[in-house]
Amino acid sequence: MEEELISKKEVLEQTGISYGQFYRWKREGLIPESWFMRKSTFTGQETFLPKQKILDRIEKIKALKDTKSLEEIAQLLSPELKDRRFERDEVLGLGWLGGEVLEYYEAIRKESGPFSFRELIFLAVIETLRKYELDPEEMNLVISTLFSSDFAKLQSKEFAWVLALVRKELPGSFALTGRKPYLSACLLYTQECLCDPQAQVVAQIELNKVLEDVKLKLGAL
Amino acid sequence: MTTKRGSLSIAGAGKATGGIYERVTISGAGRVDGDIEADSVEISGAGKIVGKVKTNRVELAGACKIVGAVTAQRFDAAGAWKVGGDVQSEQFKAAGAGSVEGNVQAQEFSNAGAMKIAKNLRAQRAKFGGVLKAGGDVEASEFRGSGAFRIEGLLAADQLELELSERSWAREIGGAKIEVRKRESFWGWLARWWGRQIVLSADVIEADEIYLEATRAKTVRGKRVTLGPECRIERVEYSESVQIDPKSVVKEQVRL
Repeated sequence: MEEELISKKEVLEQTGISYGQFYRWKREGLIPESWFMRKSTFTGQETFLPKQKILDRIEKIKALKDTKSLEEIAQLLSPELKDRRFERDEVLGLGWLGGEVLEYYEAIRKESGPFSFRELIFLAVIETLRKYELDPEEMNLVISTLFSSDFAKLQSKEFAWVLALVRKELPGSFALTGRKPYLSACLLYTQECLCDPQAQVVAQIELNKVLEDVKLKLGAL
Repeated sequence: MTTKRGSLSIAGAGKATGGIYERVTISGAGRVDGDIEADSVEISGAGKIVGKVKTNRVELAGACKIVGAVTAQRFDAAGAWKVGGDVQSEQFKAAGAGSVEGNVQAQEFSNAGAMKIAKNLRAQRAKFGGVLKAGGDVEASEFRGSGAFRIEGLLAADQLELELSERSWAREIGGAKIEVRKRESFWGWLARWWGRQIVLSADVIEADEIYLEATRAKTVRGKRVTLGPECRIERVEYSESVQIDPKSVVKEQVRL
């Protein structure tokens, strides 16, 4: 899972933005300082950035820059959380969360009613996980992992965490269905994670992407 | 602020503790231990504050020192002053031989004399005359300077205008528009007589519009690149146009 890098020069070539824009966006905090890496090349030292992240980010900024100020975009993209609660209807009104997801979440939480911003992120994670075919127990595993995680710690690393669900088959098989029993585990890690070859990564979600998405969707309100 | 607070004034070799004050004035070799929150803080002479300072207005004159971080609306300093932490101020105006051991963040930054910033300088508009040194990056939307600088990291601004008379260095320079001119000074003239012509060196210089004089760089990259006299560039990469003065040397030219 080594990140592919791209030189700053190629970023400008591929995205068509000007040097001025690039440096301005960097200064305004739209491109995180931690993405900049210096490496030696045959033409001397060059600046490199994580390819997928920077290209995604620039697309996002381009899409937003005509309607929002750079400061507003910086806020949308920053890992800071909004300190406000969202009513149930309001969340449904956003239109990107299915009613089943909300009900499912409320059943676990054992109360309905306003959700914190942090919970919106959890909901977005659940929504994203729906497209993977997970067992209900696995879904519970993900939620309990998120719940028990130290949120301040997640934020301190610019939210650059990956949530993954891993399955590992156990010996034997069920007599009736012939399915193999397996053991599931939920992982939360930064940067890289290597598993043993028998383990199968079923789902993988980048939390900072989820956060950005949630913010963008809320920003559209 | 509704409560009336007392003022602190030290003249001579007094000592006091920090706290919340209306005005803090130190003249002579006074010393305050602890954080200060005040409307204004004035130090002249060899005063020292060992703690953080939060105020509307800071005025430093002489060989004074604030050991902690400073947050202010206005920061005015002259003489051989020193701040041990970060300085955050709307207006930052300095003269003399100042130094900041942390970061400087300001809307308006202006400096005359020799100033040293151990980490980064971030400003909306920055102006300097004399010598500016920074251990990290210098970023502004407008950056104008005359004299010389040494920036260990990136120097980036939308508008960058430099008039250099002494040797300067930045690892990387970037922005929308960069203009570097050489100003003849007596020392520059002497250096030239000695056979030194270069005033600016950098690894990489990148911008949409570039004009350089007396610059040595590994790579110069931009949309429109114009090289004035006395440049030594290893590689020029341009996307629209390039112009090179006959008195400049370019090893390699690449159209992107």
